[in-house]
Amino acid sequence: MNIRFLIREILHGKSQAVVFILCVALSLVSIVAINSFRGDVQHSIASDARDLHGGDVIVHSRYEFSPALQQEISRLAEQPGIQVARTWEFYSVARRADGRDSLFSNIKAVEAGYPLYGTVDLLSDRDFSAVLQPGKAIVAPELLDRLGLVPGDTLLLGESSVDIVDTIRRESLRPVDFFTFGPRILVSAADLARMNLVQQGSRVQYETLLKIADSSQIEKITSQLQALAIPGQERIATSTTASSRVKRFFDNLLFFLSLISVFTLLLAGIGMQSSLAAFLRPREKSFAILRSLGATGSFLLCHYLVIVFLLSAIGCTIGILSGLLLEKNFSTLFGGLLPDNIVLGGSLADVLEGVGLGLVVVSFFTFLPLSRIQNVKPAAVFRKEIESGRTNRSAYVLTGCGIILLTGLVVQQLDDLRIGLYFLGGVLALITIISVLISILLRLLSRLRIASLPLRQAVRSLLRPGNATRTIVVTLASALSVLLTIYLIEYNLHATYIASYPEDAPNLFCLDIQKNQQQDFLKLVGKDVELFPVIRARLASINGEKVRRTAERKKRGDSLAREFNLTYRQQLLSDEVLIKGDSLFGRVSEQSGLIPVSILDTVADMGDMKLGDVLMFNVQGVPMKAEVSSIRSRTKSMLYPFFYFVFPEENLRAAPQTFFGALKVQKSEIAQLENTIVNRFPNISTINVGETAAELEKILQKLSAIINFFASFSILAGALILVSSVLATRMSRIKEAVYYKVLGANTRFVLRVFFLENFILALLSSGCAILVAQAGSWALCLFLFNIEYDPSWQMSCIMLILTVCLVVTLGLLSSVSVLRQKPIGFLREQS
Amino acid sequence: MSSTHIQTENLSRYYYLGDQKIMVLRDISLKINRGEFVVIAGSSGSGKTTLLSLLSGLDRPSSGRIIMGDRDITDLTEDQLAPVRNTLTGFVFQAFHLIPSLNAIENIMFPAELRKDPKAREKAQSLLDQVGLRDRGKNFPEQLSGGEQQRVAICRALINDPEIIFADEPTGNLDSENSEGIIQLLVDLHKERNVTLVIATHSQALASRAGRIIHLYDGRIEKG
Ligand SMILES: Nc1ncnc2c1ncn2[C@@H]1O[C@H](COP(=O)(O)OP(=O)(O)O)[C@@H](O)[C@H]1O
Ligand SMILES: [Mg+2]
Repeated sequence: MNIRFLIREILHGKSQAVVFILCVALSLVSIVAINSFRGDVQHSIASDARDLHGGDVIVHSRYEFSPALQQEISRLAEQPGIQVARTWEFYSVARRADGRDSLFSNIKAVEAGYPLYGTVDLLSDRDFSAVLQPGKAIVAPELLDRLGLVPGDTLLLGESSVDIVDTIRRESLRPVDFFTFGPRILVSAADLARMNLVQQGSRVQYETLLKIADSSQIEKITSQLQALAIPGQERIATSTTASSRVKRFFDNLLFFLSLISVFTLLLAGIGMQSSLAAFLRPREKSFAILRSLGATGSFLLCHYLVIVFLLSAIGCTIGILSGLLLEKNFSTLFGGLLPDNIVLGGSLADVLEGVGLGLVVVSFFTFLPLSRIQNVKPAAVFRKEIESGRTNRSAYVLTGCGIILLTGLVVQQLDDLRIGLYFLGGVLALITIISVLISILLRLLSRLRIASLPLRQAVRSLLRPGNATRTIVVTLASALSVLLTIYLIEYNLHATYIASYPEDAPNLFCLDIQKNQQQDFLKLVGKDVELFPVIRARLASINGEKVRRTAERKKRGDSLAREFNLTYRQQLLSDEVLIKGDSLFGRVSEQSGLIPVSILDTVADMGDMKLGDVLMFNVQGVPMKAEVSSIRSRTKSMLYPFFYFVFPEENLRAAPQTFFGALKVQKSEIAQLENTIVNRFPNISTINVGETAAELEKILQKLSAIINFFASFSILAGALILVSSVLATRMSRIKEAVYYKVLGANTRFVLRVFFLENFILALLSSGCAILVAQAGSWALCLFLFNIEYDPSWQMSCIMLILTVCLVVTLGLLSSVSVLRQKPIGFLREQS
Repeated sequence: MSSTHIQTENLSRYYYLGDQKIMVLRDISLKINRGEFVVIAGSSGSGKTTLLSLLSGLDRPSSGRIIMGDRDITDLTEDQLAPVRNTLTGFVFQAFHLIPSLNAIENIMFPAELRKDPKAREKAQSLLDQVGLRDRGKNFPEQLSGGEQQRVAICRALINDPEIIFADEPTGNLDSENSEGIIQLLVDLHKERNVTLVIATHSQALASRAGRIIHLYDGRIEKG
């Protein structure tokens, strides 16, 4: 090993070496940060899964437990070593005692002993179970702020009043609380009856926690309970198998961020490859000379392997360290979305994982350029233009292995074989589409007869052989298109769900209106409000095929296994149209004797349902068989009240039901009306839709900031490739500039050619990106999200302008040095 | 119009290599007349290329002055030199220096296009015909032999009808047969167009055809 040779070679191509190091670092930064973050999140929300769930065994239902199950739980509670605590969680409105103000809140009533594991920390530092006595309430600080109350004041809940005795500092069962709209109120289960809020048809989450001293019994007791539970309605889980909303949220978010990071990694990999190739290309002549002087191919290869190893080691170190540093500061980025007890920071495992990842990525992306070294022939000395060495068969085999390795890495990173393959296929398709597009455009360009001399020269330079035009455009366009697609999807989701909430749409929802309250309610609000009946039910099977809860729950998006709100009415709503079937209920009942049901197109897509399909519902224990008689579609914003399943009145009139009212109220009067309603009907929940939308928007903005942050790394990869290619083509640019000058061109001319060349490059990249992103987003909105698509051209324009500025500045900066100097120096180098 | 076309006064050019001052040209004073055919001769390293690039404005002297026609070009900026290079002078290099992304005819047209000459293409084609490359206009430089490339380069130097043509070892990269062709071409050109022709060469064959030979030795003009 010749150390002087190594150092000399690195110094000779130091700019490309720096770009290479940066690419290696970039490929690892976000992925290391995300992986380390995932570890920390998992640690914080599941370090003790029992603290997160509050018990060893958790029994959950949206209905009063079935008698058999309830009996068994009561029997277990009697046994020594088993402790049981029941909880009821629901939304309702809390009111000031003087009736002046009210607030939609999350109420949780708990039995003594709750939580069986974990803690509820109070501001006063007192013991939770000692403080929470019947008639008392412990509330989130936010509630006091918004209602203008202090501890010691009285709060009205339903038909009863409770005294606020303390405020919550932290609940281990709720590490993140942005999922719940409305502040938390904890009350004693003994007060439930007095409140009279848990009524027929109201949305209550019933949960019973069991603490089992002998942990070997957990399995047995779980299966015992399982045997008694109503499938699809009552869920039995242990603290290790139970999923939590927090966990699911982070799983989804981290999964998405992983996708983006892997994409960045791939782009940075292309950057590695192209900067290494640019690093090696000018050396091919000296390789040939060295070989003609007797150096063997493996001598060169060995030295270059060492060089690449050194550079990669530096890159990996920078990448891993900055990834971990970044993760350490995630609290700034994620703000209120983080679990409150999370400890951010890297571990040895994170570092090792990063090193392993780096090894795979670097070896995959540097293999091709390196394998060429060995194939440089001494005869290349005699040729002016050196052909790049041919890749031989063993190279193909090794590349194949590399691809498998890389696929494995992506699959492992995403933790999902199918999606991993889809993702790789998608990236491949994206790159292929863009490559094809670019090839077509470049070919068109080369055919064009251009009158303007500078423009023609610019086009000629772009098409110059050995120029990395295609690589740059493809990478840059891929990165830009992904970024723009993310933006467009966000924009359209936002436009559909939040911004487009029509002025005349209802802005106050009233839930849980009981059947016997209908008349009084209408009289109270003094308006002709349409009340929709709501019957809670589950979908049991489609055409005899069971709806599988576990499979459905794994889906990202709405689930067929969740509880649905059925309704009955005889006509379409004003914002609905029929897209299949000739009337809402057709003639189904006459033909098959089944109950007709009209379904919404979105749910039809979810379950692949067609006209005539037979749906089996479970209406609070009672089976109901229905046949799809029509499919409806909605024309308005998603926040407008809607129902997936609509039945004829006669079939559901008798089912247990509540009513839902949607009111349009003047903004300034909403609070007042809410007060009036809940003071009169404490069981009715009111939701201020405008406020809820604002709340939702805050979260969406936070999330999109996070996603944009990670996506912007892929742009960096594009920029690095651009820099690398600008560096690689610097000599030939300078040469051309000198020729222009020798032939009598002035500075303006040379600048114009350079400008135009970069301008076209930027235009091609961003043009392709816009094309692909618009088409992709349109398809995603239409087919995946089922929302209307608005192309938002402003953002496309902004991206175009920014890309042009970036590319032109970079390109010009690297070339201006040649303008003031005398040509002769460069000419000498060329001869 | 005076008969002196190019004149230098005490022209010197030196480089610094670290602290070391390398004198390449010392106190060169010479006059070249309009229409003259001058060869600058001397062994390799004697400073021929350096002198030629100073005379043509491709390099700037360390001291001394250069006057072209009745214009002092010593201190002109690159942009002020641009029209001079474009229309007054033409340059032929040892290594041809054709623009690789342009084909033969486009290379020749380029200087004419820079001055927006509407007849650029016709002129280029007729020049190509004259040098016997009628059908090679579409070929790119790498598809041409050395001799062909040099002929294209000469056409390019001629297209704007310059008053002076500089050539630096125009036959240096060619075999003897091709060299002979190029020499003949340059000699004919001088006769037909009555341009001032300044050629740096150590080719005896070329030097023997010149009107005057300036010998350079170690950066000085050899008297005698
Ligand atoms: N940029 C430079 N730096 C240092 N020395 C140079 C430079 N350019 C030319 N020289 C030196 O100037 C001398 C003359 O060079 P040149 O004019 O090319 O000679 P010729 O064309 O007669 O062979 C040579 O010794 C050469 O090494
Ligand atoms: Mg020379």
